[in-house]
Amino acid sequence: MFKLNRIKFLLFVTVFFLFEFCSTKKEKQRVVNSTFEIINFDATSNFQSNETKVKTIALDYKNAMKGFLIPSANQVAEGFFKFKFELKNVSSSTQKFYYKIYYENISYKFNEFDSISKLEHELAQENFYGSWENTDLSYREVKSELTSGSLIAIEDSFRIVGNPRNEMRYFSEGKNDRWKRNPRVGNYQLKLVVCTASDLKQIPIEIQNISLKKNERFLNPFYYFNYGLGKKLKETLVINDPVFLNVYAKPDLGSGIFIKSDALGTDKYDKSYFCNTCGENEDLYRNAPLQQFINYVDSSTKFNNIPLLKDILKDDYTQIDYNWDKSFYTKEELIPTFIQTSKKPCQTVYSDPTTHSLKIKNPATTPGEWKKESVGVITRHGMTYGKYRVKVKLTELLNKSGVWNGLTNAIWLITQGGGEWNFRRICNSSRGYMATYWGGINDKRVKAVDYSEIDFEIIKTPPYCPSNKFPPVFDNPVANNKNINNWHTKTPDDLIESRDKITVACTNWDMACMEPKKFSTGCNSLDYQGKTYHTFRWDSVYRALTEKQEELDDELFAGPFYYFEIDWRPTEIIWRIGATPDKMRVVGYMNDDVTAIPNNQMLLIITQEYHNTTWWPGAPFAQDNLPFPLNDIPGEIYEIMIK
Amino acid sequence: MHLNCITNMKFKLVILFFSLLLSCKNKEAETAYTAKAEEMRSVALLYKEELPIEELEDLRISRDVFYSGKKALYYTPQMEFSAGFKVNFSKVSRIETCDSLEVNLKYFTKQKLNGLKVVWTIDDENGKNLSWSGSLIENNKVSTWADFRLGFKLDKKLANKNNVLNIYVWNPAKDEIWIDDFNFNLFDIYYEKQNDSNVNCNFYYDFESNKDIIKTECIKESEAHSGKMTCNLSDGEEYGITVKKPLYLFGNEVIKKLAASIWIYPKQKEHDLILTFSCKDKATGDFKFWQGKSTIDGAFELNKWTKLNSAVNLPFEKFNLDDEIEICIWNRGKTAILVDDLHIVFGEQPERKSEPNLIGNNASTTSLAAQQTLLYDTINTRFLSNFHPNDFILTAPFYQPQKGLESMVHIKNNRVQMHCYEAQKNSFNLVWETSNLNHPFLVKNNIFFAGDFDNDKTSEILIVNKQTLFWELYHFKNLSWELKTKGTNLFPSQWCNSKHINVSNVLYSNNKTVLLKCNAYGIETLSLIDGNWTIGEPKILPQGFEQKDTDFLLDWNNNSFLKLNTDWRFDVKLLTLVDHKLTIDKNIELTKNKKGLNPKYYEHTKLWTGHFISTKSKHLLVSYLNCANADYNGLNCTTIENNDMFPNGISFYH
Repeated sequence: MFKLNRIKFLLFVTVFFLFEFCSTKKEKQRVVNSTFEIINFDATSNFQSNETKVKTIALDYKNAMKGFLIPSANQVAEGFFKFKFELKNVSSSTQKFYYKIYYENISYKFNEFDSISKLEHELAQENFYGSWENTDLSYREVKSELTSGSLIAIEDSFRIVGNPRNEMRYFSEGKNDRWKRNPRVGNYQLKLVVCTASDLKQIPIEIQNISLKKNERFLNPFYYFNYGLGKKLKETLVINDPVFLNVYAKPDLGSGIFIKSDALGTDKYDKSYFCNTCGENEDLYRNAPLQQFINYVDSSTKFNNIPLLKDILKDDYTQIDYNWDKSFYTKEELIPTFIQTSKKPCQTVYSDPTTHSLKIKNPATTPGEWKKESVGVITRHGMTYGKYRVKVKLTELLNKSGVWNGLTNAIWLITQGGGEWNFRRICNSSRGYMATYWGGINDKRVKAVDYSEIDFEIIKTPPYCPSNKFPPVFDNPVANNKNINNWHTKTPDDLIESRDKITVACTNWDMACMEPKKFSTGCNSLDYQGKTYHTFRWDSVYRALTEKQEELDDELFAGPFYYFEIDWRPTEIIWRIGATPDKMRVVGYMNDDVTAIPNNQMLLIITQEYHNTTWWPGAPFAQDNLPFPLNDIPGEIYEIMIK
Repeated sequence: MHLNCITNMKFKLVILFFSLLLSCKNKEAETAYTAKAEEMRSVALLYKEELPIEELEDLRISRDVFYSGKKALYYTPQMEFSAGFKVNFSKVSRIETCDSLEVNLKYFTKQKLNGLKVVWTIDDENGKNLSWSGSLIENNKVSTWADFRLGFKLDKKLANKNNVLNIYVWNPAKDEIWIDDFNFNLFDIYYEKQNDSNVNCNFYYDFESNKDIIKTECIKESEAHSGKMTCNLSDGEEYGITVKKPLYLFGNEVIKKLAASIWIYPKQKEHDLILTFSCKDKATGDFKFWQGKSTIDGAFELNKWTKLNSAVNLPFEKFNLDDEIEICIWNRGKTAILVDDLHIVFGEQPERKSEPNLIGNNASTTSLAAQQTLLYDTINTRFLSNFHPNDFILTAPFYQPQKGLESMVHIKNNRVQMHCYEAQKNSFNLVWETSNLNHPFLVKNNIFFAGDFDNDKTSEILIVNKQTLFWELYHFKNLSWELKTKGTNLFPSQWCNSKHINVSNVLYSNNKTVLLKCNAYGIETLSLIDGNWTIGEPKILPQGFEQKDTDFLLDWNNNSFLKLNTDWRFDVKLLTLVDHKLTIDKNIELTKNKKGLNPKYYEHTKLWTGHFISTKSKHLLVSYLNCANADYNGLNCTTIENNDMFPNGISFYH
């Protein structure tokens, strides 16, 4: 008898588990309280329905100048995600129910819960979260009252848009410029909140209507429901879709380059190089993800250059040649010049629709023209945070004799500008940010600025740290052709081993905000993942913090391509490089202990640009002592990925 | 002004006696030097005086020969002493700050001087001689007015208001000489300024020698970064070496920045050694400037050599020329530490030379058409690899079978060789040589030129003896060099400086060979006419550029010349001749040789042009080498230097 009961018991358990296993296989999600049940919440039921962990969607750049839509009408029918769930009244009475969908970017956010204050994190309101576009639509009422035991299936829709809180800050002339606060890339958590009428009265109006503020602050619903009073609501259920929505940006580099007239500083420019894939037509305006970048040229870029044309990379222009040319041109022979930018847009940038890549070049020049012209491209859609990874083949910087060709390869983020709408977080130090980028040491300090910049600048210049090594001591030449040793000065012995190296300079322009608790000047150390990084700031009013690391020029630029990544996060910035995406290594690291991390909207720029070497003290080659380019200097951009 | 004319014979003898006595005693103290004017510069002129020759009326005055005004001092062969100066220092304000004396005059003589001296003496108030100094006028120019300038450092002890300065010209050898514009200046500082265009701002101290270093107590033989000696502070001494440099060393350069490095070997932790830069006010002793860089913040491993670099901006507006910058080692932490290899650099890249007349590279309008590049030719030049700057290479179609191709005669001090190009072998082959020291080509003191001087369609070598001025023409006949013409009159002596003299066959329409040299007025020629050497007036005039007497012209193709000047840099221009006017057509650049080096980089370069390889076009032969002479100034190189980075060579270009 005992044996028979045992067999029955085992049979029952087996059937039970089988039943449950099948149920699990069908992904039956059920969340219940004493009043009702929510079953099978699927936030994006009409998109990638087979995915069980992460659904991935790219930002659609088509016609996105007014702001990205996730999804767009090109990606999902009608351009909305459909969310579904079943609601069952398990109480003994007929009830009215209400629901709302929330989404939040969880890749680039501040933790909603501040473990020190035990309250909502002060900066949680900066997180990118939203709900329905019409923020006045607080909670939706389920069509009809549910009687006890009844079940109803509900389907609704939403999409992720810019400026999801409809903040007036991003309005202009009565229009909601959603592009000023574009959706972030990364993972989104999709959250459904369902409650009864009585609980709805307890939910603060600022949580119901996320466009409203309390005491001048937005209240983050994710804090409210996960950690705050919302967690204690008895007749409210909060359900997260277990499947994340991952958003990334990969602009199609073959879909053209837009030329923005006001970037050229004049409306009279040569359009002879315009074509289908480069210009200012309506199609390019609406759809091109990048435009030609025109560097700002200020008077400090003026220099007097030797009157020589060379292809430094190919002509084997040696250190001897450099030293001779440095000494034996007279003042009258030098060419007074500025670093130039393109006067013929589209001449030096090309979007290839076949290879989906971009080609750029610093153009050759001729005697009489004598020009060193920078070239670059800039994205047109601003974003906040993200892992910006580019795959590029930019020009080599050193020839086989170790002589620099005068260019800086730069991959950098710059503020989208705009003034108040794009102001950074207030600098709470007693003195604030330096007001302008260009103002000198006597610039005033202000609470907020819109200027921000995060750079990779790769150039031939020595590291600032350790401090005992900087600056290298260079002999001054004597222009005496009767003694070779007078003009052919030695390379300092401490630079010889760096002959074939260039410096990767990683910079955050924090506008000298002193709020970070370890704000400092000179050389300082910062550890990250077992490695020490050396930060450098010239003085307390210098607007940038830089880390420099030497790398082999051949490794970065002599191969078919290389990857550069700026990982811009709310509290830290990580710079990485590598030959493949899975073998990236960190070359720079900063966090908010040492520098103010920007939180405004920025654009990505990729350039091959000429710098005045007075900006880089200690540089072994002076820009004005390097020849003009005899031939075009090409570069190619294969991929931009922002995740 | 007080004038004293020394005429009394007895007094002269007394002066002579004392001068002989004191010249021995004061020789060591004598710091007179013969300097060019640009090597002295006053900070402040204290006093000056000029001899009023125009007002003198006596036997020592000439009205026939003078430089300025209408009179000059004149020494007949009987005269030993000139009129001069006697100045009581009480008349010179701030004489106590006087640091130097400069004496200037112009002189004219028709022969080589044999002992003329410019003398200055200082006597005390009682007439006792305190200092005597005399400097010879040597290597004088003849038959032309010439400058003479002397500078002396004045011992501070002599710059006393009670003393008396005497200056005069002493003519013990009784030469005949005229003197004019005789004056002197007293300055309040003395320094030997560097040549404006060659200011050295770089200083190295490896401590193997103590030269220029103050406080050398720490320099010992010990573990060193280089060599054997180190500034050894192993016992925790607080102060190391000091180097001082006055700012006047740098002439017109305003020193705004100073950089320095040292190598440090710390033996203990918590070291604090400072490389300091300072400048003190000489009057008050207060610091005008002080800055230092410590080892505290750097990355220094124990018992390892690590470099400390530093740079400072100097408050140059606070400085005077006589201020001194001090660079010191201060071992503030007093830990055991070694220091070696101090490197100091004053200033930044100096301002470039201003030379408007080098504009032929006219920067704003140059096009590639204005530049011509001559290409390195791989023809073997080993036959000339032992070329020395004192050698001669003479090129002309000496060898008839070559049918117009030019041969090369290379004259060394002990051997002459002649090579000709053989097309079939694409190389130069030896046609003739001699080591017979009696051969006219190997006789000392000869200079040589090649061309068709007598216009008989055959080429000769002209030999001129620089001492006797006798000349001869030789031609290559019957496989040897034979005398063709022996000159009966002298060769003009001023054409014996062969460094800037060349020959040309195209200046005149009959292709007659002339010697030519350049000056600011045009091209002077020397040609052989009816057995006489005739100097032609400059008819060929430069247009649009300033010609210099250091320009070297070479025939090129058609109606064109190459103009070489290496005063400042290797500069070659292509000139064209039209209607007796020479204009710059192009700049000439040379490509690198097979070792990747351009001849222009070398300290000594020489060019020859000729139809060496082909009668249809000319080649350029370029010799490029470096000189081991420490004071090489472009004129005389006696010893060649072999530099691994810049191996010497001689190459063809076309």
